[in-house]
This record gives sequence, structure tokens and C-alpha cells, in this order.
Amino acid sequence: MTLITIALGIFYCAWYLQHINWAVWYYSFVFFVCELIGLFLFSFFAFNSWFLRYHNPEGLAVERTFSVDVFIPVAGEPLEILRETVEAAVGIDFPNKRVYILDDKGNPEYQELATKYGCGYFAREDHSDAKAGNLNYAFFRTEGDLILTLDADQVPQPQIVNILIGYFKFPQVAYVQTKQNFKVPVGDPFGNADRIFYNVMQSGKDNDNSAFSCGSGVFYRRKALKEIGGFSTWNLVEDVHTSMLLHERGWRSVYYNHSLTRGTSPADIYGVYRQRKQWAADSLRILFWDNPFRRKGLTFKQKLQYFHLGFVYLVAAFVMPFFFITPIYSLLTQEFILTAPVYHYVLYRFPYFIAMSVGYGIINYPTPYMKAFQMWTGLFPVFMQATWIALRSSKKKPAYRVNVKTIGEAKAKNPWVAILPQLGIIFLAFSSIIYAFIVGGILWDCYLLNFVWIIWSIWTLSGISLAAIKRHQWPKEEALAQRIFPSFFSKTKELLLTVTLSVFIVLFFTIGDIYKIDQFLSSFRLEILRLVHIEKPATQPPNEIPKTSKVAEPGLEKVVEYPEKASLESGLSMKKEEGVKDGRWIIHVFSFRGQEKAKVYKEKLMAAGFPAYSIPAEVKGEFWIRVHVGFFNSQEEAQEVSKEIQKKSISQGPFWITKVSVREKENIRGN
Amino acid sequence: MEIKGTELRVGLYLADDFYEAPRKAWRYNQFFGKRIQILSFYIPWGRGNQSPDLAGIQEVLKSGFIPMITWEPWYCVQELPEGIRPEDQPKFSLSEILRGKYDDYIWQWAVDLKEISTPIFFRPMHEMNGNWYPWGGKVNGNRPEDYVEAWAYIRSIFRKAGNDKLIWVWSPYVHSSPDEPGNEIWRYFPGTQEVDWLGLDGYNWGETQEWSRWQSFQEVFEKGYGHLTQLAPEKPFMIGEVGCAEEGGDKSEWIEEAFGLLRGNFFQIKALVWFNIKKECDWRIESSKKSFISFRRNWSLC
Repeated sequence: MTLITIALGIFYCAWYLQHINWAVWYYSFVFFVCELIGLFLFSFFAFNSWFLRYHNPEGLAVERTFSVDVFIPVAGEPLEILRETVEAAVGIDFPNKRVYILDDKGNPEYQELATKYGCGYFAREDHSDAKAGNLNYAFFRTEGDLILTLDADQVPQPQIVNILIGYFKFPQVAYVQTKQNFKVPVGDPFGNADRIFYNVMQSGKDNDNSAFSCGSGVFYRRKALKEIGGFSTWNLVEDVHTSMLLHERGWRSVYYNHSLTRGTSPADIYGVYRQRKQWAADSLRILFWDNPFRRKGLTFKQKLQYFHLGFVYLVAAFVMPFFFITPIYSLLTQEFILTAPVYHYVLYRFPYFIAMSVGYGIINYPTPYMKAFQMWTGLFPVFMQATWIALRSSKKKPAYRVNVKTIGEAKAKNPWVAILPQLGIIFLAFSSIIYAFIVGGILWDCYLLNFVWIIWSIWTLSGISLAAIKRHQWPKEEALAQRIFPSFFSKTKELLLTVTLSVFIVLFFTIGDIYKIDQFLSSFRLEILRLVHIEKPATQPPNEIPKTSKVAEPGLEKVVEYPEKASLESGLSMKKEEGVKDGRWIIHVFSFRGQEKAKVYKEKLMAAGFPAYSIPAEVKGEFWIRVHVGFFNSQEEAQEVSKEIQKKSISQGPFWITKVSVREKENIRGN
Repeated sequence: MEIKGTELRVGLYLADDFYEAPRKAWRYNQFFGKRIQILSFYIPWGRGNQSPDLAGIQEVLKSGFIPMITWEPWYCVQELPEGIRPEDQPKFSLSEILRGKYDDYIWQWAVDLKEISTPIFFRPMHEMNGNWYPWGGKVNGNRPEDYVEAWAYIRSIFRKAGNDKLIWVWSPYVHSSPDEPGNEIWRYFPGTQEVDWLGLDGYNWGETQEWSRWQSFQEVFEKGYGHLTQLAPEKPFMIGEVGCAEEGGDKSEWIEEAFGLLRGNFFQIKALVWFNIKKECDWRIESSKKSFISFRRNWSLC
């Protein structure tokens, strides 16, 4: 599947290059680059997941014993949360261990707690280097062979040490990271369980010996940390950078793909933003200022893995929004990225799209990836911010803030404000659909195609927007204990829907008769416009002319359209106050066989103040140019004017006074 | 062979090959917000072109356009040595064709074009009533009667080859040259059995030439239209080549008049192929902004 996708992707990109619209290269080419990056990411993801390394849930047999320190760094989390964690940590089923509370706020209540449970307690004076500094403070004041770090809200299972300790019989293993299990609000609206990351990506990275530490639920070897001088304080959060330094030194890591702890994830949009921003900023700082490709000790695969870590954030920040904006821009300006018929595009693009969807679906199975995708793309404003932060802080670290993890704490802020960028795009998307529809003068298959992509963008962005607006609840404890086994169908329904829809779209565009679609939609448009009483819509969009051809820049010219007789008449009655121009009676003054003469007399009439125009006609197989004066609201009025024409001796008549035909009215030219 | 639909088909000649023209035409589609339906190509018998570029024709069809192939028995101007007048090519005189000199060539095309299953416009030996092509009735030792015979001869070879897919377009120039008795348009008409569509080529040269003056669309075409519709009133009609200069009048008004007439008096005309290049003068629709806008607006009213 992967190979098929990549083949189709390359096929599509090659075709794209042939049909690219260079006239608007600034966005058609950028779009192409975005497509390439999309293909690259897929390939990377697929090959990363080619071999996943799984570990036995029982871990390895214990062959050597170690002494263990358990570090619980705290920075102002509520006492109750900490109590639960400490209780569980003390209850870990391993005799030779010592639990430490690393209090960065110097809270006496925590000290009490420590004394009560018989834990060690550190409260340092200076608070430099945030969590990493805090960990180091304890690191240099303790002795244990192995160090288990837990977040203040991360409740460990009693067997955690016994299971993991077996891996340390290999002297090269520097740390073992466990899968994180988060308590999330009902339905996990923000996709915080990060199941893709923990189920698929880390296992794949593990295979390349580059599973990285996530900062908590991780078991370190003291000797290894000592070699790199303790936890890395270079970054905001120590985890990734520490892992990179260890890997550079040739240490090995293990990702234990089963969960032995339970943490809590943020439950509102601001908490999610803050957490993701921090992760993104850290990863990007590494990418920008400590590029993994310059770290000689890393193997090539490791370099790639660390590069990828930051790169995905860049893609989410700057590439994905482009996919949203392109169809909107196309509809608003009627500049399209390709110079090929729509059904060609559909034939080339959608098989690739389907293959990629199925590919992602299979790789991630049984984890559905759609929500992760929605989140990942929906968070682009955060990732942009993170990029900015990372770029600014080459030497010094940005400010650190603890993740907010309780419902309601940040409720004071309005979630609507947080998702303004996403809502903005959704709004633009809707308005571009409507705008292009009203303006018309568009190839309808182009319209429909952009419509499809816009719906896709709206769907993608709606994920985070809805999650942000809705109120969330924590699940009941029983529900947590209960294990649900979703059916095959429920796991794949989104994927099946996507594939079915795509196939339908392909069939529609390839089999459907575009001329019929054109006809149907343009008459549909007129119907709608009449219904909503937008009289005389502009036929043309404000932008004008091919920029490729050597033609002057477009001007703004609105064109009046007389689509139907009915609307024509209502238009007439509406504009009565403008005078004779819109009546329905005319005077036939002259007929000529030549254009020149007609023109002369038309101008004569006009000079005398009569609203004259000329119109071609065929009489008994011969061609004539008629000169008419009009329009008048009644026959009498026309008669009076004809007398005046006589008086001014432009013509002596006879005059023919008649009702104007709709066709003639459409065809008049000049006045 | 017939093609469906009753609305006015607009086509373009873009002076590009089968592969590039559809791409360019698609850009025009986007600018006009309406579909170009016909793309025009000129293929001289001369050197090369021993058989039609089927892949190219398919490419045009696949891109949603009907190709119109104007088939010219001559060495085109670029292929000729200097000093030879293009109409002076005894090798390509009508009697040579009738004597069977090109039978193999014609047969090859007739057989190969059977591969194309959708109808395409096929326009051999156009503007025969002029004196600028070697198949003209008054040059190169030809007579108008030879033309009618040659047409029937070529078509009979296609019939023999079993090729009945093409739409045969007979397309004289709007006025004969020399304009004298014995060279009237009707003398060249191969007959209703031999022709599927009627065509006319005509240009408004404006004041670009010493001999030219500004002519309205009606002035350019009315005479020819009258003649041809008399010859075969039941045949569909196309303007096979048309262009308008900028000099000497208002091109945008000219276009407006043209569309007005196509909707009205020239109602037999079902297709219009614009000669969209800058050759003798800037015939193109987009020679000026005004002209382009006028074309788009008036077409959209069709």
C-alpha cells in the first residue's frame, strides 16, 4: 500500500509539474512544494512504521538488582493530585527504592506530605532552568543506580519497576520510556491520548534506536546521565534534548509499548494550546539551533528521526494551512493552479488521496488517525507561534509554564477567542463558496472541485473548533476501568466514508457530462439569485484578463446581465425614475443597408438629444441596420417624441412606433 | 458523422501543437468562465506528417476539445525555398492529386484516422477561392472543376478505407480572389453529399493594409453567408477562421456586433473558430483589454 501510494504520489507530482499554471507560479508552485512535502511526510511515516518493535508486557527477567530513586518534580500542582501520585509511588512493589518530591515552589504542605509518606524532599533556592534544573538539583544529591521520573499527576502502577528493571541488564541501555496513558475528557475531543504517537511512531522510532524520552514515566540510568552532566538544561523541557545527547554518545534506548502509569491531559483549549506550544517550541528549537544533522555521534536514521520531530511541526504550521487557503483563493480570484481539465486532476489526484488515506489507515490500525490529523492540522496557529518563539530563542530559553490540567481553571477565558484563526478560515471558506456562486462566470466543474476541497478543509478545522467550544467532562472512574473493544467497523468507518466519498467524486467528475453540469448549475444559480432578489448580478468577477498573454492589467468592469424576461421586467419597473431609458416603446426612425450611414443618423439623433441606438435586422434575406429611438413608457409618449424628431427635421417619417422585443433590448449597443 | 448540441461552439487557433494547445486553451476556459470547444490545427502534406499524430489528437480530445484539422496539400511557406511563390507548386496541383500521386498518403491518413472514435472536424483545402494556396482554383494550373473533383476524389479514398468518422468542413474565403466571373464561390461547392459542414473564413483587416478598410462583422460575412446558405440551407455552418484588427475602429464593438448577429441573423452559424494569433496583424481576442472583456461578456450572453 505504501509503495502504491508513493508511486501514485510521484506520478501525480510529475503530472502536476507538466500542467502547472506558471502565470500564478507564486501560489501554484508553492502548492506543488506543499504536495511534495506531504508525500515526503507520508513516506517517512510509512517507513518509520515499517518495523514496529513490540515488547513483552512482562518485560525482561530481572538478572541484576539496582537501587532506584523516584523523582516527582512539582511546580505548584494541587496537593490532592500530588498526594495520589506519591501514595502510588510509595506503594511501588520494589524494596530498594526511595521516593523524592522535588518542590520548585517551596510549599510547606508538600514537605508535610513528604514526611507523612516517608519521602525525600528537595526545595532548591534558585529556580533556574525550570524542570531540568529541578531534576538536576536532586540528581546531584541522590545516589540510586536508576531514576524513575514521574509527573505530579502521573500515577504509577506498583509493578512498574519490576517490569522495567530487566532492561537495564544490558549495559548500553540509558533509559526506558513507557507508553503514556492519559486520563482524557469524555470522547477525547482534543486527541490528547496521542495514540498515534505512542502506538505507532514511538515503536517505529524504537526500532531505529531513537525512541525519545517524554520526560515522565521514564526510567534513566544514572551512569548515563552523569556522562552528559545530568539532565540537559539547554531546552525548556529536558526530555528530548537529553535523549539526543545520550543517543549521540552511543547509548541505547528502549520504548516499552505498554502503559504503566496514568496521567492527566489538559481539558480546555488554552491548556491544549499551551502544552502543544511547549512541545512544538522545544522540538523546533532543536531543529533550528541544535540541528541533529550536525551531531556527529548520531546514526543517520537517528538524525532523520530527530529532524522529523521538529519538521512535522513546521509542516503543520506552514504547509497545511496552505492546503486550506488554496481552494479559497482560487474561488475568490478565479486563478487556478493547473492548466488541465478538472477530470484529469481528479483522475490523478484522487487515487493518490485514496491510497494515502488507506495507507495511513492500515499503518495506524487499529488506531483511527483522523482525529489526530484534525488536531495536528487544526493547531496550526499554535505551531506558528511556537516557530516564532523557537526562532527568537537561539541562546536563551523561552519562559516555562506548567501545563494546566484541571477543567475550569482557564474557563475564564473565552474559547472562541482561542480558535479565531481557525474560525476565520472556516468563515472565509464559506464566503468564498457563496461569492463565487453569486459572481458566476466560472467553469462549474472547477467550482465543484474547489467546493469539495473547501468542505474537506472545513471538516478538518471543525475538529478542534468544536472541541474548543464544547464543555467537557471527565469520565467516571468506572468508565476508566472498563475496557472497550470497538468493532472493526467503528474503527474504520471514517476511513471507509472517506474512500467511498472519494470514489464517488472521481466517478462524478469523469463520467458526468460537464456541459450538463454547466447548464444545470448556471440555471440553478439564476433561480437562486432571483429567489433572493439579487437583480442583475455582475456576470464577471472583478479580476480580469490572462496575465500570461501580453495584455494590460485587468480593470474593474461590471457587466449587466439580463438573464430572464421576468427579472428584466421587474428591473424595468424598479428603475422608472431614471426616465425614458427603461420603457418598453420605441420609435423606428430609419433603416439603412450600410453601417456608416446608420451611424451618421444615429449620431445626428443623439446630438439632438434623442436616445437613439442602432440594431441589425434581416428583412427578406437582406441585411439592414435599423435606427431606433427609445425607450418610452407609453405609446403616446413615443408619438410626441416622434413629432419632435419631425420638427427638428432629422426625418420626416413615417415613424413606426412599436413595443420593443426582449431580444432587441438585450442586443442594443451604444446609446 | 454528427456532433451533438445546439449552442454556439467557440474555438481557437493558437499556433501550438496538439499537446501545448489544450493547456493554453484551458487557461482561456478559466478566463472566460466558459468552455472553448474547438481547437484548430493546420497540417501541411509537405515534409513529414506521413501519418496523423494520433496520440496528439487523442490528447486534445481527452482534454475536452474537438480538434479541427485543416489539411493542406502543399509545402507550407517555411518549407519552401526562397523566391518561390507559395501558390506556385506544380507538384501539388489539383491534377497531380487526381492523377493519383498522393493516393498512398491519403490512404495512410484515412486508415490511421479510423482509430479516432469520436468525430473531429476535418477541413481539407480551405480558402480554395483565393489565389494564395496551390489548391486555389485560379492558380497553379488548376480550374474550379478540378477542385470539386479533387475533393470528391480524396473523400472517396476515405470512404474506401471505411473512414466515416470525420466531419468534412468545406470552407471558402468570404470573397473570391480574383473576384471575377468563373471564380464564384458556388463553383467550388463539392455537393451536399460530399460536405458535412459549411464554413467561411473572413477577417476584418481594419486599416492595417493599404487595400483594407474597417469592415463590420456583418460586412465581412453577409455575402458569403448568403451564398453558402443558398447552396446548402440544411447544413450546419461554422466560421472556420475569423479575426479582427485593432486599427481603424473599435474592436470591442466589432465583437459585440458579431455575437449579436450570431444570436440573431446569422442563426445558422453553430461554431466560430477565432484565429487567435498575431500574424499579419494582432488578430487575437486579447489584443486589448477592452476587446477581451467584450468577448467574454458577449459570449457569456450567448
